[in-house]
Amino acid sequence: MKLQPLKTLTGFSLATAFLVSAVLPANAAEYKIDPTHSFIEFKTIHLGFSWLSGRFNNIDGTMTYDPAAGAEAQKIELTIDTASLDTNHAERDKHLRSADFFDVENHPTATFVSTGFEGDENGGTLSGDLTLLGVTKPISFEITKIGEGEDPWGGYRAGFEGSYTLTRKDFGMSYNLGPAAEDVVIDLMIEAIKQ
Amino acid sequence: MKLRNSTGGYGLVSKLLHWLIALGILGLTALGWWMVGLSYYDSWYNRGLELHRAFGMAVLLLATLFVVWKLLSPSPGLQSELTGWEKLGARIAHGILLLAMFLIPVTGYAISTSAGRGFSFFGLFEVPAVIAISEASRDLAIDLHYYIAYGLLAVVAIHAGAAIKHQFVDKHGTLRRMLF
Repeated sequence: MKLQPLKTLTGFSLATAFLVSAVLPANAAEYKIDPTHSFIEFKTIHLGFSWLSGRFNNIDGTMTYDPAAGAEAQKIELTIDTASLDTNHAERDKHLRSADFFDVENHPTATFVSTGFEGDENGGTLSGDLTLLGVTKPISFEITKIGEGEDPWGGYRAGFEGSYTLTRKDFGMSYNLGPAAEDVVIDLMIEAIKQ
Repeated sequence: MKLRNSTGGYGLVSKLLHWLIALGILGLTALGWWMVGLSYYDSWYNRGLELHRAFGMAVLLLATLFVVWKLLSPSPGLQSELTGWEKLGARIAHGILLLAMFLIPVTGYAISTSAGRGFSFFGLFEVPAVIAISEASRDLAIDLHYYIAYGLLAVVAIHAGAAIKHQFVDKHGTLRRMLF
């Protein structure tokens, strides 16, 4: 007896979903990065002994995520406010913002704009252009979906993680931190909300 | 040679302090200029700064003794051969030198202890932090330290140049007054 209205409701929801996706096919896959639940962190080996890590506190971006539309339709754009870097040490952060490293006065943002994707809804290889210190280089790295679905407040979210290791001097950041600290690992933890 | 100054000339204490402080100002400016150019991986990156801080505090102590001694044992005053504007110039230069030999180490101390931590004095003892200052105050202290230190070099050049000029051109025996 009680199953009947539920079935009706499910049928109605599915019909609505099809209708919405038929009317608004483009908007259905547009996501906006949730900056309070997304993290772009960086770490490098300190002198060969341990990790030194930090993060960018201000990040922004958009994502097109629609597995049904095929791998080519997946896109992401990220913008990093380089001055918002934070390694939990004010003196070091000031040095990192200077011309020795991020030169935030002349290069206030770093960006990643995807140019291609190979994989499925669970992850794959993301390619794109990384711009840092005004130098743009094509990069590609693995990303993995952590989860997606409805949040408790009526929104729809999807989250991904990925990691890329860059060589600082390729982007003109060649300040001498010793041979162990020439590479920097960038960790992305991105949560986005469907618009 | 007398320890105290007299109306006829400077005593040993003032002469010694004058030259030690002069050496300190020039040495610390050179060390400061050199050490900020070192990269993080240089073996002197930390050592250079430690020495700069410790020598800076040593010069602050010498500058304090210099002023105290100036009060206990008044200096013989400017040479009577100087013209009015030369005396005025000398007084202004001396005033700037005296002020800067306190402002430079005090701003340096403020920068070094801005995080609320002290620093080592040649490994002998810890120079304590009195107050932790904000990042904005620290940036201001860095600018003051930088501009006063390099600006002082110009005043030092005028001070020394004038003494040399009065010694060799005017033959007033000016330099001899500060030599031993």
